[in-house]
Amino acid sequence: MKTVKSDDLQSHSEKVFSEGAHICHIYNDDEERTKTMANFFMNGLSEGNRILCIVDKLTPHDIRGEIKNLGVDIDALENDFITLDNETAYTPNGNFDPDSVLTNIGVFSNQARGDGYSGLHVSGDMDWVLRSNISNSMLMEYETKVYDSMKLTPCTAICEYDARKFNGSLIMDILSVHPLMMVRGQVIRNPYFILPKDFMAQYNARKN
Amino acid sequence: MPEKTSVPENVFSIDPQVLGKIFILQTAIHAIPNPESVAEFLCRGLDSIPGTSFTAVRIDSFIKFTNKGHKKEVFVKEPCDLCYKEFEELKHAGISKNGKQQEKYFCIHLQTINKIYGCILFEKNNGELLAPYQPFLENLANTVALTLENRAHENSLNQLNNELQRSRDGLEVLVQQRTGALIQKNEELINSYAEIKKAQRASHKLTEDLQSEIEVRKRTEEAKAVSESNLNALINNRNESIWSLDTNYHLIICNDFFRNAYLAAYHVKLKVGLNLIKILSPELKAYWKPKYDAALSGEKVSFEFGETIQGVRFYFNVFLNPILSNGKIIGVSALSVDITERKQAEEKLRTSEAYNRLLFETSPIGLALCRMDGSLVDVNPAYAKILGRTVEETLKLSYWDITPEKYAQQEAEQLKNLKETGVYGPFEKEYIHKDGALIPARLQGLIFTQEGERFIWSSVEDITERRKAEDKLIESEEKFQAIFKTAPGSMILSSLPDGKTIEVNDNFFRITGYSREEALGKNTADLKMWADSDARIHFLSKLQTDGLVRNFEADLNHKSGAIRNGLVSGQIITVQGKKYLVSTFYDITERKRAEEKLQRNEQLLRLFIENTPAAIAMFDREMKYIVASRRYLTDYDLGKPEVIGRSHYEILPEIPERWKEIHRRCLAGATERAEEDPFPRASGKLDWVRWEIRPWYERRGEIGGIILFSEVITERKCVEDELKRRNEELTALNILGRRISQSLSLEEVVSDAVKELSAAIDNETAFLFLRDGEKLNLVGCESKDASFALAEIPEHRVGQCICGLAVSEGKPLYSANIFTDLRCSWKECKRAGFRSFAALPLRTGEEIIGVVGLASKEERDFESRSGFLETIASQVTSGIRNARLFTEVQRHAQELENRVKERTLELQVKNTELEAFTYSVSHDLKTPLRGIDSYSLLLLEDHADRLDEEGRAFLKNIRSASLHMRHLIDDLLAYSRLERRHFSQEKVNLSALVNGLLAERGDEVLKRGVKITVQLPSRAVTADPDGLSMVLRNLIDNALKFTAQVAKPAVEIGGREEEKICNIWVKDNGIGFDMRHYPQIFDIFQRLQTQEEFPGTGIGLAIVKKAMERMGGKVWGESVPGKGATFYLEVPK
Amino acid sequence: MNTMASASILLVEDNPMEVDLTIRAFARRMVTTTVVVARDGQEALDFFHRWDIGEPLPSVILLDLKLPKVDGLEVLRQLKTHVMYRVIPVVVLTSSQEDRDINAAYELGANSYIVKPVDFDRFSEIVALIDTYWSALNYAPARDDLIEVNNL
Repeated sequence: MKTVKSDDLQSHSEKVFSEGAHICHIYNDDEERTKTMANFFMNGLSEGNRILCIVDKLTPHDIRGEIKNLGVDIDALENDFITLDNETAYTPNGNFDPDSVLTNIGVFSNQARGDGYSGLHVSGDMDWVLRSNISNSMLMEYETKVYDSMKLTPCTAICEYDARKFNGSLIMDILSVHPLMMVRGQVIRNPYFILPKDFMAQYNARKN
Repeated sequence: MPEKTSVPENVFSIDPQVLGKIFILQTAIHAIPNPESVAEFLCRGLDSIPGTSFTAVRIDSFIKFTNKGHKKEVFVKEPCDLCYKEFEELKHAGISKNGKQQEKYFCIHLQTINKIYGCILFEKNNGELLAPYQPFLENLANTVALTLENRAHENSLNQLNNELQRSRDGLEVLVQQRTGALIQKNEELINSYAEIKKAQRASHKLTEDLQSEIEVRKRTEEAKAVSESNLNALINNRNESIWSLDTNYHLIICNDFFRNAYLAAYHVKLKVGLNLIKILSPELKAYWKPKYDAALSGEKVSFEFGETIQGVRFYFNVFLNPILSNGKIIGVSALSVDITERKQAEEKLRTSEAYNRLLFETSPIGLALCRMDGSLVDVNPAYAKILGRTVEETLKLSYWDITPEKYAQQEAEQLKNLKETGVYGPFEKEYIHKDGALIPARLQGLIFTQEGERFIWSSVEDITERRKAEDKLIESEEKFQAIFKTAPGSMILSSLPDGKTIEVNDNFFRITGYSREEALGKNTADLKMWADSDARIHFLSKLQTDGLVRNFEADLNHKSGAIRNGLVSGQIITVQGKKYLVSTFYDITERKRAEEKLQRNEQLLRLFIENTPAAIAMFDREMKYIVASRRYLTDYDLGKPEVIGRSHYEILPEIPERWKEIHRRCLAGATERAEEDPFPRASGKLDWVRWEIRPWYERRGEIGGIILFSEVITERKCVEDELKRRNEELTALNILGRRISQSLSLEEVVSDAVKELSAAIDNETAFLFLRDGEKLNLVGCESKDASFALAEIPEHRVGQCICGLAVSEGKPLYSANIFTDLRCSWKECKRAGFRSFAALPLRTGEEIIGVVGLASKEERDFESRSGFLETIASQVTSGIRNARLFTEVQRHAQELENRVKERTLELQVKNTELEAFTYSVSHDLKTPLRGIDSYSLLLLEDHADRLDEEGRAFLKNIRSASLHMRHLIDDLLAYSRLERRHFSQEKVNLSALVNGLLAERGDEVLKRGVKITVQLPSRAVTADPDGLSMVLRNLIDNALKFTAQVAKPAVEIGGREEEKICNIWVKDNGIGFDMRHYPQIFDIFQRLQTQEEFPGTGIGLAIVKKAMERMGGKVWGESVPGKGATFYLEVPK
Repeated sequence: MNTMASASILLVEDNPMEVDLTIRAFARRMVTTTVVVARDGQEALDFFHRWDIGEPLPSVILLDLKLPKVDGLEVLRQLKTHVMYRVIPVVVLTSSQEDRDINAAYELGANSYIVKPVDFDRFSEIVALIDTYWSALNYAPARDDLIEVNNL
């Protein structure tokens, strides 16, 4: 890449990520998505992070298989790579409580560090939102809260959204609350990112 | 000129964030499947592109737009087909098309080489900010379009696949159906066999049912037979015929009696089912069938039927009733009762004696034979006539049909009487006529017995006529009584020949004073009623001869002794052979007195009117003079002959119809007057009268005639007319004078002149000739005679004809008759029918410029109005002269203007050339200068180390020289622009402007610690913003520059508002200048300081001065060397 | 669409001094993008043909308006009406802000203008930015490419 300043189109300097990374990954091809995620996990593992993969339609078996294809012996890394189903993760009591979810993840992150890992990488497939009765505004609220949560317990979190299922306006909203995004396999700074408080103000104004 | 304020001067600016957004959009689009979603996503994503204030995205027919609160309508530039066609949708979204504002909008189409899928629309609020991003946006659009196209292709591919699959499926289904059909057929066969078996079982059952039914029927029939015999027993033991038929006249059943009777009558053995109508003879059939039909239609028919059986006449009363069963008529039941005996008795009664019958029939008195119950057996025609009916009709009536109810009681009594005494009446009652009238009749009757039967004979007499006569008599008696009694005069009925009073009326006493009792039995002589007994004798003899006397004037001796005047009338009448005298006396005493009074009043009035000094005449309804004043007679020269009683029209036969009409109107009730009216006299003289006519009324209110007040005002009128004419002349002169002085165009003056002239002389013809050397050109003509054409006027020359002579002699010429005037040499005027002429020369000082000709077809005396006409002529003259002068002036002015225009054009061309020169000079100078500057810089930067001290110094000099040159060129350019560019007048906010300028120098100010004071009025001034900006910039720069050597530099910028201007000053505490050099400081290239100390181009102040001049303001300065300088500006508000 | 990984800048300028200075200026600021030069309008139009047959497109065009043979405005017009090359940003070079041709240039679709002499610092930043944009767009990673997401 060219040597250009840090707030340019693509940048991923270390400085940014050590404060926690909230990335959104918008995909429309399952195969490509699997490969990308597999790469992401592999990199994370190679840097000594624990991986938490919250699955929905992609089964743990598939993802492990893919990682294996990349040449990593995933079975040997039991503790390093953990999969969880989305019900347990997001709606443990049947209800979605953003704060408790984030708290849990925070705890998990701290635990990882306590266990000797350099950090936690979390990925969540957000398809379940469409099946639930969660309103869009609630979802946005959750995502904005992630930002604050990151400040307390930094980790790397990827929210995966299937572009085929979510509508255009919602995708734009989602973009607006993720400081980073994954495009073409690269993580770049998201030019559409708006600070949570500004976003919520605009969002509510638009709703009315 | 592009708006420079918002565009950075050098590098185009691209915000990486914006570029990043576009990039994200471009990559993310692939992921979003459906077009609506894509549109939303794009729209949101493109929300804040710099230089735009509104975004709309359209994909196919889905439109999405962000509205930043603008309520404006958005307009699309030169559209793609799709955009244009689908404006309707855009309209619904609040966007519509308007050609004018196209430049405000930037539209990118989402299009591939195949198709246009939609567009992205931006509203521009700063085109230059947006321009750098355009390529990227267009690229984005291409990507979107391609993506949409791919998707579309995919979709169609999928559709095709689906189609294929569907047809395959279809085929399979078809095959299945076929097999299915075969199986079904098989099943059907099996089913039909089962059906056959079922049918067999059914028929068995049927036979069983039949047998049981037969049993039932047998039993019913037995029951029926029993009831039949019962019925038979019932009907057969009677002496009446009973039978019934069905709807086809077939016999259903009958009793023995009927059967026997039928056999006896028709020799037919009756059987059940026989058609009873068929066997009858035609007449009988015609008789019976309608009756049966009536019964069959539901009527209950009863009638009497007579038949001769074996020579014997039998009578029956037949009753037919319809037989109903379940609501339907199934036949007729009939009953026939033998009434022969009764009939016979009646018959006998009727035919006992032919004579009696004849008597009966022809009796003029109404006779009726009726039964005890009042029903009529027989009536004679007379009776029927009383009722206004025929005999047949009458027989059908019952008693109460013809008797009004009010006679009920009387009838009852009579009946009672009848029953007791066997006789009733005579009594009077009324019968009800067929047409409803009540007929008075006189009745009497008796009972008689015949063959054991009791009947009543009645005779009925129509007493209508008698009654009428009686009534009439009573009526006339009453009438006569009334008249007699209430006659206004006194009426006496006396017998003849003695004249003795038989009867007097009510007024007799009032008028004569004698009461009825006193008068009865006496004649008028006895009562000494006649004042003059001779009069009486005269009256009576007249009466003898004529039989009647009318209104004989005589005086009456009232009983009181007073004498009353009256009118006596008398008439001899015959009543029942005897002669009587009816005489009346009307008291006219009062009236007579009134008449006398009236007469006397009339006399007085007459005297009064005759002697009044005014002219008054009074006419009756036939316009005959009743009275006329003496003055009237003299005024109208009526002289001595008596006019009273003669018709007005006879005396003044010359009265025009018009006045007769007026008289008629007034006789009808109108009041008319006139202030002046022409009255041509028979002598030929024309008099003018002032008159008033009003109707006068009789006592009772009807119009008796008219009163005429009049005054002959002929003399006065003449004087008035003269005055009016003088006035008109003056007014005409006034108008003409004003018009002429108003107008400066020769044509207008001429046309006004002839118009006014013509009008002034009662629309006669006026000509206007203007002199052209020896020729006289006709320039104006006004004539009330439309047929008179200008072209017919031949060329006139000075000295020829009356007009020409007027010019050559220089004085006005009048001719009362041009035919006899030798001076008139042209035939045209005569040919046109003009008789009199006047020619007035138009003189200005010594020169005669033309002539006015006036012509009339009558022999008018123009000379009599010479004063007026000549005055007009002189006015026309001055008008023409003025017009001519004015034309000259105009011509000169036009010439001047043309010259000025030429000069201005030349100047403009020169200016443009100069501007182009300056522009290209500066432009072309800048290029090599750039080279010098850039390369010298490069040298300095890259090769300085290869130069020695001197070399570097040289380089520095080169650089500073080129920099100076650049400044010079820039300033020169600015100065030259001041000359040529347009200075606008806008409201400029001083504080904002100055603060902006100071901000530009902010760095320097900060670095040097310059103290800046700004105190400006808040009100805006009117100036050209760029110009004022340049001026202030220069002054500020100067202030900053010349305070460079001061320890505590301070610059003050202030302003003060005055009424029409604003004073601004820029004051510094710098080096100042010597006021001796003041005049030159505003000159170009004039510098008072050295270049080293204070670098500058020497053009700055020249620019300031020129700019202020162009803005309509002023600049001046003051200074004290070493203390600083203050420059003042005067800016208009 | 650009079809190459490394970009170029097309400079259309007749004055050789200007060309030289521009190239030097780029070099000084380490703009490594290739600068391709056309010396007059006709040469500029010739580039169209070269692009047609597959030569890579520049990511920015610097266009002087005063050109011999074919006028700068004409070149601009042809550029901006071409269905493929219109997406290339064009910066018009002018020696004076009051050049009346600037208006005309914007009408034809110029994306910005610079008054000579060019401030190359800022300019090169922007050019680099545009370069990156195009490259990122065009860079379609192969499936088995490991993407570096370094130092997370």
